[in-house]
Amino acid sequence: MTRQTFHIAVVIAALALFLWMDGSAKAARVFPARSAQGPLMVRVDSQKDIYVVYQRSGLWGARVVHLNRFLNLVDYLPREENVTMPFPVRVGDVRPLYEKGLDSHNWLFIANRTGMVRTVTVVLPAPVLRERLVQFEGDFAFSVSGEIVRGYTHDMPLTVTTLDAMPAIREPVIVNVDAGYFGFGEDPGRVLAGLREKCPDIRLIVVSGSRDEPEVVDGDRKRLRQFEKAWSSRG
Amino acid sequence: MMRRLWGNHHAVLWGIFALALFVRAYGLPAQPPTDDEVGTASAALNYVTSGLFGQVMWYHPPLRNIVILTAGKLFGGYSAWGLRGGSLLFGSAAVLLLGYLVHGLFGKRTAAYIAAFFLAVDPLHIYLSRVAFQETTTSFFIVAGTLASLHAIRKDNVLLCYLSGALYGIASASKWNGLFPWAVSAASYLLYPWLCRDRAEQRQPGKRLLTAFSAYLVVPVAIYTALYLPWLQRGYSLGDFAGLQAWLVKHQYFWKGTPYTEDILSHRAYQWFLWPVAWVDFVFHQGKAYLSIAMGNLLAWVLTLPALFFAVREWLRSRTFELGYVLAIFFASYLPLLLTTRSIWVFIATPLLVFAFTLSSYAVDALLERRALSARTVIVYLAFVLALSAIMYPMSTFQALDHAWMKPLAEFYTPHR
Repeated sequence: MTRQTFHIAVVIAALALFLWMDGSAKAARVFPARSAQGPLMVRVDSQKDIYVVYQRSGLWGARVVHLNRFLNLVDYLPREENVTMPFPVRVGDVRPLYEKGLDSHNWLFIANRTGMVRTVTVVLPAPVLRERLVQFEGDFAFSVSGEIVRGYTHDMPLTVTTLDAMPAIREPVIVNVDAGYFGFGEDPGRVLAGLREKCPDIRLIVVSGSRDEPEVVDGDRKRLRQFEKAWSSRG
Repeated sequence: MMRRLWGNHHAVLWGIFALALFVRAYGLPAQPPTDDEVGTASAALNYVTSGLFGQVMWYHPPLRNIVILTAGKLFGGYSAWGLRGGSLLFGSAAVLLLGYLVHGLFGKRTAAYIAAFFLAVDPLHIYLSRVAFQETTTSFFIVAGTLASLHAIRKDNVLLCYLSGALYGIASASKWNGLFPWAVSAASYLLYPWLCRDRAEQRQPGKRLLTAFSAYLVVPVAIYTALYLPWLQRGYSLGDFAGLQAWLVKHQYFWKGTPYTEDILSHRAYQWFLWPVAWVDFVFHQGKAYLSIAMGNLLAWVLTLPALFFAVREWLRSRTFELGYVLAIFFASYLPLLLTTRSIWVFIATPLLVFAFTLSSYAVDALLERRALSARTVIVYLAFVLALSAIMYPMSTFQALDHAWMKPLAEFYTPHR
């Protein structure tokens, strides 16, 4: 074998390794199978209950589209993970420690830490996004282009946008629709049409009444029910 | 007998390695694990089993997790040896490899002994070898990669090129400090026949480019990426991986430490070789406070800038490849740390320190040969270096509060002043 042949063989082997890593990583994702009846819709009362639905669905590495007025991505890092102790140091799976701190503001962040969610597209009502753009612009973790904000929280990539500006997602997604999304005059029918257009492969849709969220009022929940009804009737 | 021993560089370098291992391992179980060390143990387990980055320096590449988990398995759990085994072994072995690197570069036994000795007794390096972080692992793989690269370049040996590329890939997967010597070595391999007139027959740009591409780019990048496999298994594609790396560059650039490290500790790289600079760590463990004030051995560190000046002058005269190679690595490693606007603490110095000691030992050896320095002066100087390290040893091993004479220093670094 000449030197050149050897180099080319190494490059081909490395290329194969890259393809295998990419393929096996994508194959590791777990989400509900596509159903002829359309995606399963699950209703929950509070935002953090969505976490339980994810757990029961056995999600791993899922892409989530999250419609709410909140990001639900408040950092939560359990202190117990970094506390001195006598030798021998004993450590274990930290996911239960994260779950101990689960609340309605951090559940999506924790769903990433526990591996169920790999990336999130947060869809905010347009007035909320416009109000928050200044914060995103001032944070080096984010870059803003029109109504699309791209960035990271820890190692999780995320996008924050509006339904109109959201680029179409051509892969299986899990959608959360929170009553809090409807507090700014959003029309349930338009939301449904927008979701169908932008997310052609929805595998699970979770609707949350956000009963633990004082800012969400009954009018918002009413519009959420209209959304549910419209979704169910269109199949 | 002593003369014969002195002439056998293997025996002397292994002897210095034994000294390095001893001072790094001595009383290790008595040094309690810091909060962050416990965090690294947790991060190691959770990274390998579920691809989750831990809380402690999660933004650095993930090799530390694999080293700590492997050491834990080898030593049957996270005893002091299991938790810190990787840092300890790589830190001690770096002393040995540095000796061989300097010997390989200049063919001078004395220079090799001095460089290895400086690193063996350096209090900062001792501190970093006794905690479960990635610093000594990074510098070990940098020295190993450079040693392999030196022989690969000289002998035009393809397998050594691959070995070097792989070692730099591993170094960079520990911390990005590996990128700078990696880039210099790849460029040196490419340009060597043009830099050395007697290698004109090797001037085959196409062939060299293919070797450099395959050995110094494809292999290290593949290794670097493969070490992220547990993270990729969280469902992330290679596109996501590239995005993460870009985000980490930004994250590193804008990184800010805790108020204590930003406001009280020195955090500029230009200070390192001018005056004493400390990295301070503290743990309150089972009712007792432990404080470490880790500094380099100033007597050894202050040689760096004069040695650099001397080496540059020598290189301008001689244009030898080896000296130019070390100088290029030194500058490529140091300039980014000097020029960045973010804080750079002294514990980041070890990947540079090995090349600083290489230059210092070269200068001392050259001056000895020219009789500008007497052997007696050098021996007395080395004795002072050793004495200073011995005095500083408790400071580097979390015993700074155990000795009354260290009280002023402990008070100087208190966060409450």
